[in-house]
Amino acid sequence: MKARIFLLLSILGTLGILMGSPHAQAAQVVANYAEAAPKAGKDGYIVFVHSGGWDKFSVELCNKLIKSPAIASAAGDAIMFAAPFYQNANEKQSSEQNTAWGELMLPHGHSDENYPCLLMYDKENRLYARVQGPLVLRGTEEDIAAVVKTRLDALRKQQEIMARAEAAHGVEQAKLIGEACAIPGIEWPTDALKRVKAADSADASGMVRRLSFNPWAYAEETRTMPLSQGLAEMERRLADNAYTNEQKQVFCSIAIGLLHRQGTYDDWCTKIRSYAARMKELAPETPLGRSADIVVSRWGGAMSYFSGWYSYSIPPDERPVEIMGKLPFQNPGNYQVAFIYDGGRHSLKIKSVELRDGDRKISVDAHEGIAGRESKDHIYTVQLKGKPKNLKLFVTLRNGAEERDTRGRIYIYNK
Amino acid sequence: MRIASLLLSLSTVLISGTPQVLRAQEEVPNAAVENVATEEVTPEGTEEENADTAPNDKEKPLNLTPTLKADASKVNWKSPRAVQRSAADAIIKQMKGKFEPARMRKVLSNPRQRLNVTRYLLAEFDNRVTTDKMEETKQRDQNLLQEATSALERAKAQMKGLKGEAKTKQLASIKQAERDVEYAKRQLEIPWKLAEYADTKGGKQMLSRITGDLEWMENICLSGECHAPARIFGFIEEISKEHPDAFKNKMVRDIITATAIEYVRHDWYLGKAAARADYFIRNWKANRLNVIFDTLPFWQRRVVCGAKSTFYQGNDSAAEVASMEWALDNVHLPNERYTGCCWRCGYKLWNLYGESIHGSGYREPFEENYWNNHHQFTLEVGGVCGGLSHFGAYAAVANGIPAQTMGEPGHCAYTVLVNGEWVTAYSVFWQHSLHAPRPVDNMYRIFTALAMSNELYAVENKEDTYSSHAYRALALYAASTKRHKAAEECFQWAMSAQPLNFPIWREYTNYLRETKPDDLKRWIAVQDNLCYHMASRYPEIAGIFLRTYVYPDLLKAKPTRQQLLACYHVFWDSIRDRGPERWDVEGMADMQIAMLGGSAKVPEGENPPPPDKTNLLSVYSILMSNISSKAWYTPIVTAWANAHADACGGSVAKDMLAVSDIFSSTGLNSMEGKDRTVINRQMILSAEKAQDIASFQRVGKRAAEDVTAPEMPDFEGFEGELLSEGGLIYTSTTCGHDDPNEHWGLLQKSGGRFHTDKEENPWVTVMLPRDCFVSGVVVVTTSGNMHRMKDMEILVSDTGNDNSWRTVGNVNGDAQRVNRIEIQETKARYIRVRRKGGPEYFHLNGIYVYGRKAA
Repeated sequence: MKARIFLLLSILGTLGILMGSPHAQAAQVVANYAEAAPKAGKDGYIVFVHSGGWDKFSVELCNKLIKSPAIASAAGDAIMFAAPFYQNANEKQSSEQNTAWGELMLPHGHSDENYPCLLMYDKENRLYARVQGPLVLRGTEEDIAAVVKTRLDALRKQQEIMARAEAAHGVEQAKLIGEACAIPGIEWPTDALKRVKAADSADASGMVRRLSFNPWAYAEETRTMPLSQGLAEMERRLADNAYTNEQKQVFCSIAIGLLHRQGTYDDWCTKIRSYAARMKELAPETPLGRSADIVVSRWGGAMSYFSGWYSYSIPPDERPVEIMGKLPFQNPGNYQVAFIYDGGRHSLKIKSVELRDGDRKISVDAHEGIAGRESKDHIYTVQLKGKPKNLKLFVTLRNGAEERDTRGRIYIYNK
Repeated sequence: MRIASLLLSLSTVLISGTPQVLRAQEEVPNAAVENVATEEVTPEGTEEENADTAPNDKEKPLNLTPTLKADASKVNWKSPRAVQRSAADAIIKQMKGKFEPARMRKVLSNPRQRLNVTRYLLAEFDNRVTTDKMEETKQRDQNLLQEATSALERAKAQMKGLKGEAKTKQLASIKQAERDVEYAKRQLEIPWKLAEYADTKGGKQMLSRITGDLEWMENICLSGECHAPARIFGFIEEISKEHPDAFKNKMVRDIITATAIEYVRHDWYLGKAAARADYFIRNWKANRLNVIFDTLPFWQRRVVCGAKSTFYQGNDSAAEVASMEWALDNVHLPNERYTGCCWRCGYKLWNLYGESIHGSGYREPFEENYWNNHHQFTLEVGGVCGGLSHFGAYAAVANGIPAQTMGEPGHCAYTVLVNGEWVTAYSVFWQHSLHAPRPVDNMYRIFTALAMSNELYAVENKEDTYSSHAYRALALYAASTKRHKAAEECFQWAMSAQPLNFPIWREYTNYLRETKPDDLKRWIAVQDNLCYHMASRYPEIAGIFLRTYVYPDLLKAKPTRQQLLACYHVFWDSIRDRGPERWDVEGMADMQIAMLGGSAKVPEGENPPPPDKTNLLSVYSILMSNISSKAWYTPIVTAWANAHADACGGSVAKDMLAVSDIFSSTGLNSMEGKDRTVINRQMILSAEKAQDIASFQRVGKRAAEDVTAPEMPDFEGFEGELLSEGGLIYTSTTCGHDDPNEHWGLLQKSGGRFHTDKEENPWVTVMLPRDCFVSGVVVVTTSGNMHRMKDMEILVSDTGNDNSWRTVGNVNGDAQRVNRIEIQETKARYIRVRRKGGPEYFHLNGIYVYGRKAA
């Protein structure tokens, strides 16, 4: 009986292994490219690039990482080897380096590699991903392995899509190539744009314009468009789903720039803030996404508790201006709002400061104050009562459109 | 002839010996003897230390010994002048009346005497701190303290009501503000003079520690400019409080010292000095820096640790700690790769809001997210030449590699130390001006000063350099005690012991100015000496020194015209090669013309008046007679002469051609006849070889007037600019069928021609005026022998070096008359059209490169 159970379990175990993940085989470590090439499969190569001695840590670090079980497991069937990238290589070092790298192209002078790094290549020797920087320097093996796995999964997905693209034609093919390019974290397939153009010269898929879009060239090209034309153009592009979210952010930023340079104060208060909100929502963590709040505080016709006031904060008339940002009002009581001048030809001429709960005024201090080289009565007192749900702070100014050249800071503290 | 006689007279004087021109203190009347008693155990030292045989350096390292340490505590720095006298007398005594170099070397083999040299100089540098300087900086430091205190109050005021992450951030700001206040207070308290510093709580101990350590003193006094030593010691003292192992760990000590010297020199802020030193100490201890940092000579460590800083506030300096930490993590490269790393940023004149880099709107939407992190800002938001050059230079610095930014006309470039040589990066022009003077003050912002400093501070030259410093100390001592004959001789010894020790030249000319301003003979002698010693290999530095420190005074001493011309002749004759880099030959020649006219200033402005014709011809004749055979100079001089001839008009051009004719037949082997076109051919080839675009363009344009342009077809270019028009071409070979006078036309729409010899894979290369993003090339073949122009490939490179080419396009099979090759936009400075296979001749009528500028 026991023997039968044992036999059954063995058979089940063997079946389990055989039917397990198609990538059950862990990554192999070899000495160099020449050894790697015959073994390389779809998962390609991972090269652990170290300094070879021009720093004091990367050789050891790479040796440690290449032996990491976590990374080996994450690397699928990739073949892994370590390779030096010498500094001022002499003949011997060049030879050693060339032997290690084999047919893989050495990083060229302007490339983005930073050492030590894990360079991930597909079977055709295309560099598709880099793992480098603080993650490699200070990350745990598990952290690094997680990123390696993500990149490798991305490659596999890309390969699968490109296989379908190879079988497709025309617009369909172009769409698939575009989809393959949109996978985050890895490089585009080779000659992606060229292939999309060949498959869909009329750009019915939208992939030609998506893949050929150069945000900086476009920002330069459109920067002097008349405002209404420029905004209309940006809205048209924003509505075009051929563009990615990051590309659409650029249309928002261009619109904001046009408004900033050509718009009125009302445009700044409404439209800049609107485009900034859209820009942030599209991709909050990109440089543009993270600039959205700053652009509102600087150019959005507002003052900011964090940044203070700038020339664009000053309205052309005596309408109240909101002081935006997270305000430090906590417990009920009296608070002082101080305006500290930093520079500019003009002083800030204040008429009143209001604390509101939504549209309802809670407290007002109305007196004329000046924050300038010679400040006078520039500190205002407001009283917080109860627990307002929508607390806002406004200041009314007397500067007008002619006296906008001023900047400074705002302090709020419990009196 | 004049040089030889000068040397002969000098050596005669020295061999015969000037009996006892320098004597020890006891022979100088009214000398204060305060320190003699305290030093009485030291001047002669032990018998062993003063043995007449030079010790073996490997067996007896020249640094701290117990005896020196004991001495140092007895030196009274409250009277630096007395320390100077003591030190100088000690050396003089050991010289025993013989001042020739062999004797000096023997004396300097004793570490005590070396220490005396450094102590003398330390006191000398202390003497040079002026009252005005002290007052000005005291006021500045008081303002700094006030500003820091206000910032702290503001930071505290903003705490109220904050919670969570905002509170944590604000607490960090308060801590930083408190640190700034503390450093501002300390900075205000640090004295500017050694006498005052010796009276402070930590001063006496620091002075004893440092001035008793020979290596430490050498680093401070002999590695470049040393300003306000008391202040330096004060900075070292303050920074060491956070790194007490400075007194046990040599690297920590050196980092702090290098940082202190540079920060004091540039009047930067103590708080930032401490942060900078801390950065390098931490990261060196953590083994994060490039290994190059470990073995840098001290003057280069000063370049690294003293990389440009802002005084107090500043949010866009690439050398801020936050930015450097980011670069250390994200731009950690082999040394030579820093010259190209700036390009990972890309050149962006407009940001994504359409705002120009020249306005505040470029940074406004982003800067709060990148405070003090220039590197990340430039990479993610953008920059142009200044931003990119700072990115590259300070990424290198962050990793411990010497680098710095430098200005070029309308451009910012940088330089990195690669394999021991200073290599320019992102450079468009040959005129460079370092953003920080290295390693000499005032006008030595010139790039070649770096190359010269490599040599000056090289280990193999240490003995000579030390001797020159010792003579320098004696010369300054003699000058201060009015013993002018001795001063004169010691200066001469100092300058000849190590001619590259340029502060000595400066001190000597200052001395001449004060004591013998009208001594024409001496001014001519210093001119000649400088030419002999320095111009041969560093003509730029010699030239600038002459223009700044010698010529104005030489002119005041009223030389005759003949004497001036003789000086010029000596200068140009001394030049052997161009030096480390192309330099302002034209400016030097213009200065010499101006001097003949009685002025030490070259006319400036957009349209300066043309030079006096007689003076122009005189200088031109001297130039041609001395350097017409030096291929590197000839096209420059010819282009310069042509420009002036054009401005002068009339018969000047003809006269200058006559001069050229005379020298062409004697100086240029490959020429025959007196034809201008023959001269131009050689000039153009020389310009191509030297990659001197300006000369190629000037001479080439003129030369093209004498040749017939080919018949050119119409052709369509590419989008963007025609980038190649203002550039230069050079070919794999030339031959009898080639006329360089036609080369310039190759880059113009009017067409031109080149013709290589019959060879394998012949090519022609276009060097663009600057780095560009290339997107298309049009190649126009000649109309005949089309079979020669087949299977062409287009290659690009950033440097033109052999291993740097990459193929970007092809014309397979037979070429058409017009061949348009579209290229995936790529950055390049050099574009090559190569005819594959052969052996075959290769010739074209036009090459046109399209794209957009990257700089």
